[in-house]
Amino acid sequence: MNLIESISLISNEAIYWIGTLTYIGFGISTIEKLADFRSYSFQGVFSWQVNRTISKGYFQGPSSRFLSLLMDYPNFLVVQILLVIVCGLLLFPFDHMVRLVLLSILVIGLLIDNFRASFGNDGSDQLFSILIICLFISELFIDHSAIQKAIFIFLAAQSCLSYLTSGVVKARGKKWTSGIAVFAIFNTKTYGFKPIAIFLNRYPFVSKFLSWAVIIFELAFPIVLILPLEYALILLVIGVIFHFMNAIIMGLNSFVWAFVATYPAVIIVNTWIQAV
Amino acid sequence: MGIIIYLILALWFIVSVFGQFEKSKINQFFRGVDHFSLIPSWTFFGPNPGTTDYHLLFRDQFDEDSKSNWREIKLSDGWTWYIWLWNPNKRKQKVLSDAVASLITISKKMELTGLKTTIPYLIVLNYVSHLERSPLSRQTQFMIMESQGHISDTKPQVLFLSEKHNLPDSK
Repeated sequence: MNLIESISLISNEAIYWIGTLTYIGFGISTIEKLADFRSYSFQGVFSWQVNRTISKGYFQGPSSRFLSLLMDYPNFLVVQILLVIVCGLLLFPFDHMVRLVLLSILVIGLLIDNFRASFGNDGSDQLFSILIICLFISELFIDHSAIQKAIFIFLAAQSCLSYLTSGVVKARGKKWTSGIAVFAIFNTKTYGFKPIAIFLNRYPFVSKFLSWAVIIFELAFPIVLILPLEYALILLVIGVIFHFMNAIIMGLNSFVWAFVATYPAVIIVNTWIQAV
Repeated sequence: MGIIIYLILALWFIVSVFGQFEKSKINQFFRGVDHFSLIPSWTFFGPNPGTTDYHLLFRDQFDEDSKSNWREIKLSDGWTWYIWLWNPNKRKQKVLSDAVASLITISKKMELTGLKTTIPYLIVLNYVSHLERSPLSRQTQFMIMESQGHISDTKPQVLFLSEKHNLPDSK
């Protein structure tokens, strides 16, 4: 069996890997929320009493009482605990109906999460939302191969859009094109790491190389769909290393799970394009 | 049923593409109705990445003549070796950084009276008001400063100074 044959994942295997990476990543992300539970109380930065004022028109009468029941502290933490349990259970091979119920709970919990947070969500949260809704649709239409195909195309397109947008906006930024962006980001206390900032300050050409490497990688990412699979895999391995380095240095740990979870869809779409 | 799913996915992707054009009217319309944050924004660290650190400080008024010194609230716990797997502080850090950055942007366009009712102002004020403090504190005031990171010769600068606010009765 050659490389292309062995990597040409069938749909079920691809969905399995998308799901596994999503459930682990979203599960860790939700446990992190529980570990910082005080932030969700009345006194915390994610206080529902503050956030609800953004859309107070929706919170009158019975709907207000029902939403507060789900989103107020500590009830919101119960929803989070439920989501962690559901993510854990989805890692096991239950039958179709059980998985559908679990994924329905996950989608509802996710929507509650997103509705509650007006500030503080990041790109990985956005991608987890997309992934989980797609996994739900995939399970709902498990025997509908055309819908499965549409989901892979949608996920691969979102993945390419994310890298392309990020690359285009960076290519328009002076700090990126001048090559100081990587040093300047790693020099912050928020996303940086002092020893690396010191190193990049001493060797500015490394910062310039890394800034341009990020721009070129992100701009080039969409060609992953049309490259011969061997080269496409190299680009995806670079992607994994890129996200892993961001996690180690900048603490963007959820991005690894969320973005790498889209890669099986990218590989599937690549193999279809190669087959045409 | 298939056709409905294709339409939903196609529409979702088209709206996502418009969502990348921050200032476009179509984007602003869709974001206005996107209560579940399903329209992504993929402009990570671009075009102008944040290259400064914000510092949130507060001081309390005890009575008419006496007040505490300014105290800084740590927004970041710094780097740890396991941050690649476990980083529970990132959300609190991000929400405060986002709120502070929004506050700075809004404060350039809005009078303080209007600013006080915005979500970022309320997030920061609510958080600061509920920190542990002396039982003698009657009012609190917060300040946002900006520094240039680990390696810098520039002194931190004041970006924003809030009004004094009465503390909750329970304190």
